[in-house]
Amino acid sequence: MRGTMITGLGAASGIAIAAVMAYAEPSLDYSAGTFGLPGLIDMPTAESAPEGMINASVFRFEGALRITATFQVTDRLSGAFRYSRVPGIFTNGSALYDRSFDVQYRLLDEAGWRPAVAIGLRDFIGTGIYSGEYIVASKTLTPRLRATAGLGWGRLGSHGDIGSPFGTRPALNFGQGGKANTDQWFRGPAAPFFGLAWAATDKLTLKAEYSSDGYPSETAAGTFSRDSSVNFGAEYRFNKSASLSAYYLYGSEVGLQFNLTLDPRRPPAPSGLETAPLPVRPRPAYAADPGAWATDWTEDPEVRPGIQTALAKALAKDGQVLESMALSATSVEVRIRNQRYLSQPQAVGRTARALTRALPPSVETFVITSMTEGMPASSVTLSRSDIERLESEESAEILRTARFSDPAAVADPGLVPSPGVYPRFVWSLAPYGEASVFDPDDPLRADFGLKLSGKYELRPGLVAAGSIRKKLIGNLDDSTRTSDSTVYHVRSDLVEYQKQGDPGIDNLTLAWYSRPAPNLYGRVTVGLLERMYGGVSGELLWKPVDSRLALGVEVNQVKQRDFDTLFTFRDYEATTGHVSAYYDFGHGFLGQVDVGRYLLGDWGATVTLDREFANGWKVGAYATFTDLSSADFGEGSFDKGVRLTIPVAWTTGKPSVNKVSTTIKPLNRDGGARLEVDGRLYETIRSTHQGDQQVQWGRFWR
Amino acid sequence: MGEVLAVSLRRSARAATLLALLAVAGCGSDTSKTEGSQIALGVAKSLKSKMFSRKAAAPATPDPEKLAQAALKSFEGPIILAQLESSGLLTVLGEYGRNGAVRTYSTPNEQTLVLRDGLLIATRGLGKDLMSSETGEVAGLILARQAGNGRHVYRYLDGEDIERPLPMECSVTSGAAKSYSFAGTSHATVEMAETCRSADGRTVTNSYWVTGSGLVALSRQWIGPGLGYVTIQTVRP
Repeated sequence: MRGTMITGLGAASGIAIAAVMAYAEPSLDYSAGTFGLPGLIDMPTAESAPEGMINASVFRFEGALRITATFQVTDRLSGAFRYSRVPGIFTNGSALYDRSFDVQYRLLDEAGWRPAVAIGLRDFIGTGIYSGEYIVASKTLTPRLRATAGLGWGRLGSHGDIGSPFGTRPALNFGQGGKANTDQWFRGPAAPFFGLAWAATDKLTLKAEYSSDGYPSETAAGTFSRDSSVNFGAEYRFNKSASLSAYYLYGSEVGLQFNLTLDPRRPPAPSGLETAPLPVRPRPAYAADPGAWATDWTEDPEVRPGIQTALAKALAKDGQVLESMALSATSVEVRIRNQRYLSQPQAVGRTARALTRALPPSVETFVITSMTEGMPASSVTLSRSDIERLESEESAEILRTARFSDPAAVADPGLVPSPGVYPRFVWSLAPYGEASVFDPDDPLRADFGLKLSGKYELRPGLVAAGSIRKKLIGNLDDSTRTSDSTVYHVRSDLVEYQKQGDPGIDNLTLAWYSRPAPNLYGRVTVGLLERMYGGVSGELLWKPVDSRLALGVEVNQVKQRDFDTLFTFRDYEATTGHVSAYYDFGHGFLGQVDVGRYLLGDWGATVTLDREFANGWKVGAYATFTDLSSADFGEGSFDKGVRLTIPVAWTTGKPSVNKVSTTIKPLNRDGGARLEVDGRLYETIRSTHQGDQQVQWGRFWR
Repeated sequence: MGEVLAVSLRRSARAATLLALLAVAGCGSDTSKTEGSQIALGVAKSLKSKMFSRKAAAPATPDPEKLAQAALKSFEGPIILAQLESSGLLTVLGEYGRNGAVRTYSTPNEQTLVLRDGLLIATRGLGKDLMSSETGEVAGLILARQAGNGRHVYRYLDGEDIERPLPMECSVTSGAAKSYSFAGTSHATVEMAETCRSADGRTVTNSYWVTGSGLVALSRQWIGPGLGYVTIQTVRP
């Protein structure tokens, strides 16, 4: 913002501002510690990143490699997911590759003499190598200097403790890891830690700390020597997003850390690099030209097809497909498939403006129905007078007049399909990449190749789709790792699929989407549903257009596919399915609970929480708990992961409905495994419903 | 015959480049599958151009008078000429739509400036666009060539695409008279300056050269934090 403002103010004032900035006191921003969350060096602070920030950091020193992703979930709550390597920790000298999760909650803000206070848990559901709890206070002494002091337990109480205020710490039940170590929290020896951070300049922050981390396992393994409790650090910021930190640690080692901050609210490209919308064409006043308002055009059989053709053409130029239209003397319903704008209101707004240019003046009511996968998913009803009146006003004004409804509730809308929309065929040939990042033998393996995909829509809602892949280069097949799972390998033979499935059919399906009744959506998919399973999948979803709550049922009868991912199957069949509840909590938080039977036949539930930004960014986490014992599940005890979705338009500024999604799953085990089938209904229809459209409504007049 | 030949030539040329491009870019009619790799290619290209930048010769700035004259001949409706200060882009815009007092002018590339009584109230297609504005009291003062105070509200989409207002308190002052001739029309104007300040201390100054009949013949107006100022000249009202 500051940089762009300078260009707006002209060169002279730009220099003036630069001069002011150079003399201005640098103020201290939060900065990441070696565990990724805001901190000093190894010790935490009570600082938080601004809400919504994502940070990735890579820290390396003799005693560890830590790759951490953090997310500021709310103003007060921070979360971190880490992949770390601790060398030589096992008796045979091999390294420990480990995944861990941290959380921190800021209890109090700084006010007057009071410091900010936070409480945190490190590595609270991992295998416990970094497990520690703390309470910490930070106080800004001058705008450039902040002091921090705290008390740590567990690993953070392993040096210089002052006794065990809350009793002894029970031995870690290492087991398979992956469970919350609740009985250990804040137990055992507690040790104080403290430190200072000082902003020497706007770009350079210096830090010093007294660490209460004794590095007991590392020093015992002899991989690292802890000669001092005092650490020093310097962080240099290249710009708003990248920084490099260097440390002198424990009197013996040098460490380096690279940090990258991503702000979902700060897109790299300016939004709106698109052609301008068609302006509204107002009608002549009735008094001025009553003839224009006549309705005798309805008797001319040429008019409706003429309008439909012209409108389809205008909308096609804007990336919208006019699937069908119903026209009367006073109202119109158009059913559009939005292929260009991530924000459905932008597609609706542009369609509304095109309608003002195409329809006779007597047509006052516009019903714009959003189609997804051939299903009418929601209707927005607008009056033409309001569109004419509010074109240059705040977008909230037209939202107040818009009415959302379920198109399936209308008995006979009298729709006429546009010619040539169905059948429809699209295809693509594109590169793909597949990486395995958590393989302890070789943490990074990858394949690259080409994927040919095709999609044929026979009629609205009936879709045949398939894709084949062929590897060109890669080393995933070098992996010698075999699943150690003691239960049937419903998922954990991934390596076999990667080795043998070349070329392979990713999926080959016929899907039927339908609206069986108002508020209900249906899907039936048959064929090779995913890489590992084929069969039948059926789903029914209840979601009123204005409801925060949605309920769904899914039942699948599937058979495991052979490793070569062609047309043959292995001898494993499963009935799996879930009852799901989805809830939009508001403020961008979406929750989902799925209860049912997983691929292994284990019963349980998956809990998912997503933070979705209005611009389409999404950060979420999920965990699955089933009746499979943690011994049977193996390492990790239960399935969990984090997921991230980034809209393509955010990165380019150009309109696009596409998003890039990834799920980071620390372990691929057999318990709590769900079928992965394309086109699940909730995500298919949600963006057209009232809640999502209201959030994105700012783009209506874009 | 000639057309068929051209098509087949184009096809074979395409086939030759196809294999080379395919490995990185992807192709097909289903953008949901190809867009990801095309972005990767775009990033690689922009990095390459940053690392091996050869300064392109600055395009010759076209003569505004000539641009205006050419536009008058080729387009029958109202025309304005606009220059964006941040990018230097100079272009003519023809009237594209009219709704009450609001006029939408479009560039040949379908980017638009929206004016109400000569005051810029919105832009589209430029990126970081001005979504809408309220110019109520100040518009009246400027057009009547009167000094006074009023409120000017600008609205933008923030980084999350949520519409946010930027309210500003403005004072309108009257300045020097200026007579000039442009594109075959002479204008006798008075400069009206509108100085606006937001609650967070941002200050912008819009200048309007207004004729006795209330026409804004020439102006320099602030679009917003992302786009800076634009100079707008009336070619044909």
